[in-house]
Amino acid sequence: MDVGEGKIEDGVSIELTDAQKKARRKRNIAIAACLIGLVGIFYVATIVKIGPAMMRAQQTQGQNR
Amino acid sequence: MSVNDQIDNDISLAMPGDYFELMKPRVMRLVVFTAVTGMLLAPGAIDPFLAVIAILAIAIGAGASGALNMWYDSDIDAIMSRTSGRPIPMGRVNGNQALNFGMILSVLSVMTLGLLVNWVAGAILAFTIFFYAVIYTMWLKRSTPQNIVIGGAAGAFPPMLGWACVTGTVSLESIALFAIIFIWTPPHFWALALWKMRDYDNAHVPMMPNVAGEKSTRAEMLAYAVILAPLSASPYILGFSGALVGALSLALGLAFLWFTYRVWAIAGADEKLVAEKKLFGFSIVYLFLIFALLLLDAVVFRATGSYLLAGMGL
Repeated sequence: MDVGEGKIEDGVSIELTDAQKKARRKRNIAIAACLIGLVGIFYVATIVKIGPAMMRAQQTQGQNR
Repeated sequence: MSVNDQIDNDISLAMPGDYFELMKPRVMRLVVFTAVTGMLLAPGAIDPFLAVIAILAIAIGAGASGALNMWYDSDIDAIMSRTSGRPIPMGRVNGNQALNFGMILSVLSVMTLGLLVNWVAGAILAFTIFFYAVIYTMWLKRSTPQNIVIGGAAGAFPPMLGWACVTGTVSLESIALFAIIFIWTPPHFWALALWKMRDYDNAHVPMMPNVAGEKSTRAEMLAYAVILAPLSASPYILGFSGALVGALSLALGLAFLWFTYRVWAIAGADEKLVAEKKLFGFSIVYLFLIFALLLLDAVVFRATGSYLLAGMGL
């Protein structure tokens, strides 16, 4: 059964009600926002955590040259 | 039933707000507040961005345990007036959705805190979620009148979590913050239970007043309040808050003792249970003020290097 496409295996199509479509859309937007937020958090945290060490490593390399 | 009807029943009408409600936002606010206080009181520094992530992860972890609690307790939530409006009893979210939501958030919050902050904090968060969802909700709540005494530990962990985010350790100071909430929990909940007894009785939840009787409950509440009064000043005694905040905290502890004493002395003679309701109201004010004072003191200390009004000889 593929509810997302509005179809099931025996060929009977399913029409979601407006309320169901609206709820699903809002849930999807919320999940997308959370995932984007999570990616953003990990991206910035990575820079915060390893950024200073990388800067120092570059400076040391520059001084050695 | 047509195919359409059957599928209508399977397709969720839950809105994001219903899922947010599963996270017990009011509890989450208290968790954030006490965790921030623990974080600022801890010696040392944490990158501000990582601090925000840590608080977010702690809040989400608390929300996850709330969702797991609502999943498991939906049968008794439906019976009690205080909880019958929650998303699962109202039919807005089904049990499986709440369980999945709680599990996913648990894993994400612990993983985020562990990977980005430190694994001591991550481990405490994981233990807190496990303690609340499994030890308290699944085991103690329905089996012993000591349910909220032991289960109260789950609510007491956040300041310890905040502290561990900065220091990566558990120390006597963070145990003192834990102890304040831990000892505060029984009189707070039993004050509520004394006037919601029938609710808990209907749901077969063994709260202390239903099991041991009102008289014994009032005596135990007084014993906890006696311990809480000096414990309120423990941050000053242990040297991580100033004398002014120590004195004010002690005054709040003594006020708490007074309200509890009234509950014990009146012993239910007043049918309207005004003393119990007043204690319940004050208990919330007490916890908020204690942590607000500590938070203020921590901010002042971080900004000036000395505690509140310390320059005036206090």
